[in-house]
Amino acid sequence: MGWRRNAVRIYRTLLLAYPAEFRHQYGAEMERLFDDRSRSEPPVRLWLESLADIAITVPTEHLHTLAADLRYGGRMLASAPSFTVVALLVMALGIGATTAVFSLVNAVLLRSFPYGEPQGLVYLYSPNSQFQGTPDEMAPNDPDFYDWQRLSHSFTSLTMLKQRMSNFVHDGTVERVGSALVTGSFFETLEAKPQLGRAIEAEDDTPGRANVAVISDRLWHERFGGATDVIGRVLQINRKKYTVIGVMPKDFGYPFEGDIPYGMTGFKRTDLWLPVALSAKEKTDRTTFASNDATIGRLRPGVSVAQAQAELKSIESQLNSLYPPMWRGWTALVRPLVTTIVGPVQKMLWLLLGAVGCVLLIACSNVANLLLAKVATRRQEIGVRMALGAERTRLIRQMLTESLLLSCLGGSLGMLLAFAAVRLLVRLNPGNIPRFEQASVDSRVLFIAVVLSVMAGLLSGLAPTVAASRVSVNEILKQGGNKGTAGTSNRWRQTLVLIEVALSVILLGGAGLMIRSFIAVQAVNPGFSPSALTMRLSLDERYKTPEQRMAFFQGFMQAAQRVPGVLKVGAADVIPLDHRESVAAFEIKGYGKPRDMIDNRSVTSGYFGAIGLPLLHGRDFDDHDLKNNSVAIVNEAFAKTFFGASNPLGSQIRSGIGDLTGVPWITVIGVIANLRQTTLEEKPRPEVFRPYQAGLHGYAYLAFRLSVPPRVVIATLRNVLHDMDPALGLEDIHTMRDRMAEANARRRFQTVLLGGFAGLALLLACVGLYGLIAYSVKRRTAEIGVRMALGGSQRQVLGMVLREGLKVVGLGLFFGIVAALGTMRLIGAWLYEIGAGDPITFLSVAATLLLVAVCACLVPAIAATRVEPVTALRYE
Amino acid sequence: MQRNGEPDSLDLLPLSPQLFHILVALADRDQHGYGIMRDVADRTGGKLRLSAGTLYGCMKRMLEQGLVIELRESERPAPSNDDERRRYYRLTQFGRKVAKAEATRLAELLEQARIYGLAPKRG
Repeated sequence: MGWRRNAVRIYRTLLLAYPAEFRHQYGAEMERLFDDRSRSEPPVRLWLESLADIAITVPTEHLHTLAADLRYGGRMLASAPSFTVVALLVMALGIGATTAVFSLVNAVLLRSFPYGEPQGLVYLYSPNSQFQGTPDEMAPNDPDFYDWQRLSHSFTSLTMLKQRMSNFVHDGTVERVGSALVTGSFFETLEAKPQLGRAIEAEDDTPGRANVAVISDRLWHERFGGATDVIGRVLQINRKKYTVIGVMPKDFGYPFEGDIPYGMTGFKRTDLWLPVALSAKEKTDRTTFASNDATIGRLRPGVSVAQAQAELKSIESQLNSLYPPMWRGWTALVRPLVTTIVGPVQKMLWLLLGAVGCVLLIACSNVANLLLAKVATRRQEIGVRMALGAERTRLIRQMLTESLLLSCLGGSLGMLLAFAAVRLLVRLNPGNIPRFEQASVDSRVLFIAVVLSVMAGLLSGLAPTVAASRVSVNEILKQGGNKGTAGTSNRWRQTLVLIEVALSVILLGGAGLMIRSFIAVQAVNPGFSPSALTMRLSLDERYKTPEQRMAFFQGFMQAAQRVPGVLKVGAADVIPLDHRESVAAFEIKGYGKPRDMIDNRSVTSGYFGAIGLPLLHGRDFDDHDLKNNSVAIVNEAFAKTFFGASNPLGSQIRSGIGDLTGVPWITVIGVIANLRQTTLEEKPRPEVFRPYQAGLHGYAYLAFRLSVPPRVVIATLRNVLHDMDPALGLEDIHTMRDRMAEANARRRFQTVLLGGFAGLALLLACVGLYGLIAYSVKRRTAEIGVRMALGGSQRQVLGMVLREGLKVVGLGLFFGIVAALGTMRLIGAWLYEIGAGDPITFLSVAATLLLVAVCACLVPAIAATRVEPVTALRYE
Repeated sequence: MQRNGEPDSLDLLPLSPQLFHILVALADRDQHGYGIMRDVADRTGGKLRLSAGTLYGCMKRMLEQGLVIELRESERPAPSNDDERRRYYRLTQFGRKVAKAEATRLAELLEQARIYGLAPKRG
């Protein structure tokens, strides 16, 4: 008999899988039935049948209960349309906004890179402590790269690339496309496979055989209409012929803008890969300092970044002896590729996700608040259901089903919103976040949206469920159907609104600080004229000698000067806001050699006038200076730092890399105003300008001062260039105003988004506050009526209602400001000329919030003053 | 389709075999769950064995649909025949109507099968 008792006990345990209500109703009977059968039936058959029965009927019963709850919940929602619409909108806004921001995080930080095992990839740099002020992230000189490749054992493969803008001629038009000259190991190292044809291999990377090209999916579709016979076609690139050997997949555009620290700016992605094919001399010549733009290694399994770095350092210390003594000091630095690429934007994106998460929390607490108000009005119904035998667990389940139904419906609306919002966000693209434009609602984003919906449902259902489950049947029956007051639930509601206000204060504070910083940066005087037009002109290898190149640039600038609307033309090796560093050691005669490096720029005569930099003292360069190269112009910061009040004109300086002994002295002939050279935020540093002969290198930046709108001149300048050499094109054509906007784009993006979220938070908090006060007024209608019947003035009633609202707002404001002061240091790095605790910002936030809160309370408060005592008593 | 507050019996058709058997088992007398189970097993020669989950799942739905009711204390069988720990169920008028409608439906189906020689001829 013992086994039967045990069997029944086991069966009783299994019954726990049924919904509680069903179990309580039929559990004892089912147990009894099992016991009866166990007396007469063979145990094996009984168990097999019973287990199969449980496996089938448990899910069925749960589904039946769910369906009933959903039907009931749907009826409840349909019976209160205004409540439902508000709650759905609030949920949709919260979930939609969070999903949209998550899709950005997904595209930039989470979605895997379009190449194999990105975690194993590292960037290799070769810093040199001799060059103070230069970044550590300098790619190695070409000969060092080839020696690293030959001598190191830490990597399965090493590659390097040089970024170029190429003239791509197709159907008679020239297109400037971003291209990369790569070694034969490039695609192998990245483990990137073409979708069509083959990749560049070792045998392609040899001089004389390097006439092959791999093109991007974009070029393939836009230029060849996606034709499969593109392989084998001949392209004209930089006046040379290349045969297409492969087409990369859609997502592959490495390097994208921002993928390489201090990489080339001006193009968003790479569309063309060509073999770099260096000659044996170029691979070993350590006198030209030709470096690549990025060196990438794939770590051998089991080798850490630190181990690889130690190995490269020891190799590089030996290679130093191959350099002339004054150029030594090279070392090695290894950094993971993924964190290098996403690192700079990681914090910003997580912060935005955090901010939008706050909005979602506010939305949840808003819905919770609405549901709590509903619970209060439904107490009677709940009480009656409980009196009729409804289980408490069933009621809890019912409440949660209702909030889940709301959040899932809201979430579905939110997903639709997210689709639209992602498109909008991509249009706000600040331009320098890699893979930003690839943000989309993919399966992972949808999954997160579903998870968010369920979590939002549980979160917003929590408080109402607890409140509903605390409803006491006795109390309700004692009140005899009177509309009861729900003291506990009202405290819950006040707490929720308090949290909403506090979260809004944090978001408003953050947005306020960002807006003030943004305005401050906008107001910065950049030194140059925003209307100046700038562009880059590059020559190809047909212009072999500096003389040829200089003659071409000279000719072009003279022709440009004659274009109607052009007032001044000048050229420089680097233009402001280009992020390029060009630093050197220097010495001032009679002053000694300062430890710091100075920014060293080269400009032609006329450049200062063209870019709008006023000459404060002395004179500009003239043609004679260009030839002699024995003079310099310094900026105001230089003059202030090293000469103080005395006049720097006529003083002698010299600059260069390494030991300056023997470097000729040059004379300072002018002082120009300060300008923002690298970023708008960075204070002007001492700078030295040297005479520049455009054409010294294969490219130059040109600056124009115009008397007509830029577009009028651009077309003419293109024609001028076409007449001189039809194979060349102008690139990176922007006014300095465009460049300022671009330099400020990420800040603008952050500010707009954070501001938007803060606005949304404020709106939601006010909806919550309004709901709270409106409900409270409704609940206290009788009390207000009695007060007024006893002679209370409208003013007193107004004050009473406002006090109630402002008490919650005041507390929320207090906690919000305390929390904000603690969290604002997270955005400290993005603030410009204000502290994280900026009193003006927080006072404005408090004032805004109070003003809006008063408005939100005023509407129900005024309604309260219109209460007629007679109606109020009837209401009771 | 509401008619006098009672759903149309045809709305519930066709019934699942388990449900129909339970209705038949309750047609001539009130029974408790175990009784219904044994009755169905006897009448089907042991081919249909209602397990507890299926049986009470059906009973719950039938109660909700008004096909059966649970007997009150006063209506239960004489104490000598009563098992106090069990719940007894009785077919309602509506339940009887539904059972009849299902039986008619099955009969019509059988008639059609006969015409096509898929079932043995009458008599």
